[in-house]
Amino acid sequence: MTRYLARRVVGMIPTLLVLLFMVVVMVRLVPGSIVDIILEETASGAEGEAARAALEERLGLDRPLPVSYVNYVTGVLRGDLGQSLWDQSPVTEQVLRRLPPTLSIAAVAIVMAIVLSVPIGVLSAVRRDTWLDYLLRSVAIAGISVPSFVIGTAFVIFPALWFGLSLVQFRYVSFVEDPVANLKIIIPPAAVLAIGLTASVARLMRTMMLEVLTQDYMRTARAKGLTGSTVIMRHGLKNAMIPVITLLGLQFAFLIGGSVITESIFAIPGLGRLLIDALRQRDYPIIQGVVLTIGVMVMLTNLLIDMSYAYLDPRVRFA
Amino acid sequence: MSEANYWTPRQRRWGRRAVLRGAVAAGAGLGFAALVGCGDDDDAADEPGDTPTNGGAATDSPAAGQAPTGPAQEGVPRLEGEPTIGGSWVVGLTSTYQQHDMHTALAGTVWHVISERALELDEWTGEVRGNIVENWELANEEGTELVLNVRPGVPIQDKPPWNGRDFNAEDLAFNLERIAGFTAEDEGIPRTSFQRRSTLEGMTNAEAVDERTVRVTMDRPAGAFFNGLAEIRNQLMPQGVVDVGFDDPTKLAGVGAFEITEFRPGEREEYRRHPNYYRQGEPYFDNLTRLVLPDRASILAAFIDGQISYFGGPVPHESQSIQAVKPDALFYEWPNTNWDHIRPNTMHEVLSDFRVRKAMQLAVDYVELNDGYWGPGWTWNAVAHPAYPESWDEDKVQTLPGYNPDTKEQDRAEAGKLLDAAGYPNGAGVRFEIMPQISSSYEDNALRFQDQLSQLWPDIEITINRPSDSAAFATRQADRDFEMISYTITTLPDIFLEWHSQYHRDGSRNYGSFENADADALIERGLVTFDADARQEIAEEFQTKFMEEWQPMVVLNIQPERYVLQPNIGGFDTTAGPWGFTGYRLTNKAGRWFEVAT
Repeated sequence: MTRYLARRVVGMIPTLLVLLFMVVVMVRLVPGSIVDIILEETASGAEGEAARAALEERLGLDRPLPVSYVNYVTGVLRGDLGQSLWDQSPVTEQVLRRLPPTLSIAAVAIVMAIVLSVPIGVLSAVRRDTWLDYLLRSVAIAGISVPSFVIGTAFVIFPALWFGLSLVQFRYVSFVEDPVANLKIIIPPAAVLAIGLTASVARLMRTMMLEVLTQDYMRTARAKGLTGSTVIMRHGLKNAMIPVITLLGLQFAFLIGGSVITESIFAIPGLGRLLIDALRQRDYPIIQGVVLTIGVMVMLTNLLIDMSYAYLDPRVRFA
Repeated sequence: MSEANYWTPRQRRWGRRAVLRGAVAAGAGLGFAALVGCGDDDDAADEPGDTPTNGGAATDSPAAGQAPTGPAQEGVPRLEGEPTIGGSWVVGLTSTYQQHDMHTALAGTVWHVISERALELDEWTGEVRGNIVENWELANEEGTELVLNVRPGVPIQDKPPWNGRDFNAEDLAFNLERIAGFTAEDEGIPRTSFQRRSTLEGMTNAEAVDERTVRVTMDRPAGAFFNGLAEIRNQLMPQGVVDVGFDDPTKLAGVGAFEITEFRPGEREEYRRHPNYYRQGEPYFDNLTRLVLPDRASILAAFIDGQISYFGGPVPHESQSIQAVKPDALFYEWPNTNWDHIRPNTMHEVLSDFRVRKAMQLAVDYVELNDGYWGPGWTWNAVAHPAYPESWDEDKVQTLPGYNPDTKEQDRAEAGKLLDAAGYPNGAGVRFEIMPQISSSYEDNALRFQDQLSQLWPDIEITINRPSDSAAFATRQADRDFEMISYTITTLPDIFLEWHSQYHRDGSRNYGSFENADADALIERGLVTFDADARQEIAEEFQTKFMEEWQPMVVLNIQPERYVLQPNIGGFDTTAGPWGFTGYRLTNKAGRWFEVAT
């Protein structure tokens, strides 16, 4: 197990280097420059040329790409993600400050999705081709079809327009400051994100459950005289969960990266918002820091998923 | 309030132009006589026509519990009643202040909340009036020596190293020299980073001669100096701020109504009342909060729910939504300082021809274009904002070829002839791309412009190419890498500063690369002229030539400035007006606002 873990971690290094290279190169390829945004009025004309050159030098943007890459990798190895080009604040600090709200929302969304989708998927499979199955499948398709930003916007705006009140508290309070207030703020965006996730997981759960229900060991379990619910819970669910866990893991990473719009709608100061603001302002070190963080989280999540297989299926062994 | 009732007053808006003209002739025109000893307190209680031309005697600010009252203006409701002392003013804005050095910052900073300007402009007349600089005078007849007197008893907020001491002449001199970029070399910052240095163009030295007096030396008479100093982004910082540094905004201290207590980027900023604020009895609110709400629907919901104090810039359908659920909300509207335009790159093969540019200006139906997006409430504009004392007013603009709705058919016929003469019959051969800045209004302007001209001249080929985002637009605009752009400009506080920026060959915002020796000469003359009549004369010639010989861009409108406030917010009317730069100083003037029991 330890050797497997060590091998996987070492195997992540080339992926990380490629990710770092892409991050450094791609942000430079985005049209529009922070220099023009900062200088604005003075960016034009002959004087502007000198000003742009001076500012590029000051911000370190005049360095060749390979030099920037090496500097960045060296910094990352030291745990230094650089400084914001706008306010010179350390990127690491900004990322760490913005990570908890994003992680909280993603975690709550995952919990909500599991709590809802597993029973829905199982029920749908067990009651296959009944009116209940059709209803649950239709709802699931609707949940997948409507983008979360549409649901989020509707959640925010319609109560205000119809009843003159908002279901959302826009002044963010951290969990440390006030856990109850924090949950009140976190739950609405998490619920919005959970809708699509619940729908996808429920559909997969149904499919996997249908497959499991036809397996020999399920028939054997029933023949032993076990009750239907015991057969489902003890023998069916665990086996059907492996691909579901994979999907949830991938979705968790997707939720982290895809929280941009939801965080904007619900005014959550998370990682997605930090990325959007940095992109708008062409704050390259912050863009790099956030993308790198999300990339690392995706890799770690995949590792955790792989490790969870051993628990769910004893046939899986780490060689 | 029905929509018709809400918008109807706007159609009579520029009836006040008569009032405005009367006031600015004495004050805002920067006539020599008006400059000598001119100054006034920043109290809006005076009627616009009562512009003081001498002295510097301060008008007392209203005491706590007594509502400040501004002149009644159409479209700007006045809420009477006893101010409630205390409470919180909560603003929902889309982003956090990112730059904290006022002198190099591009736009808004915490200084807009925690500090003040040396001089201000009357919100309606544009008259320069005293603020932290109580009064001023010209020390010689050439207008090259100026004396500025700092108001006594203006405490800086109680943070080290200032610890509540009074703002003095050395602080002011520090600001003047640093705004002009004189400290650039010592600080190792490029001088071009000092964004507002052009507002003090011509200043060679600023020196504190005693505790309250600063002597300013110019290399030439500078008619725009005081207006430049009143620029909304010239907020004052105390000396020593560079040593404190700009990394942590909570360490900064100004002379404004609120002091900063908490700064959470991307989340919120918290401010509390400055207990020793120099205006007696202000601020009325105890606290001020800037919440970052990036999504417009969220801001609207937060306003309707009462979580924030105002909703800014509603378009008609948003106003209707608010009226439906919050009928007692207060709607404010007045002319903005932003003017929308279609700017051709005059280096473009076709657009370099004055006849083509003029034909487009003549052909546009401005009523259809502007009503389509803004609804009624926008302001006519041809060459310069009608709120300048020297500029053509709305009535005049509506008589100009192209702008006159009654002669649209004739003007379009004339436009066709101009295109024929230029070798582009029916628009054949005229081919260009419009790049709008990322915003619904600029995209709308570009689309309507394209649509109108294409319908009129079917052979014209106009395409619209949206940039990926604002930063991409900014780069292409700065590089002059465009054929035509659709955007807006925030008016500078002096007409010749404005024209220098836009149309002078060295202008910092002459993105269209317009070059004309006559235009340059007129602008340069205007900048060194103090006499109001002479300035008027130069401006008249400039505007005439702009329309008849140059047409460097097609000016579309002045945007309407619109705010909706919670029904219990009073005092806002004292800071409304075209020269209020409200978008910038929504928090800067929050000391004047208060709650009343409803």
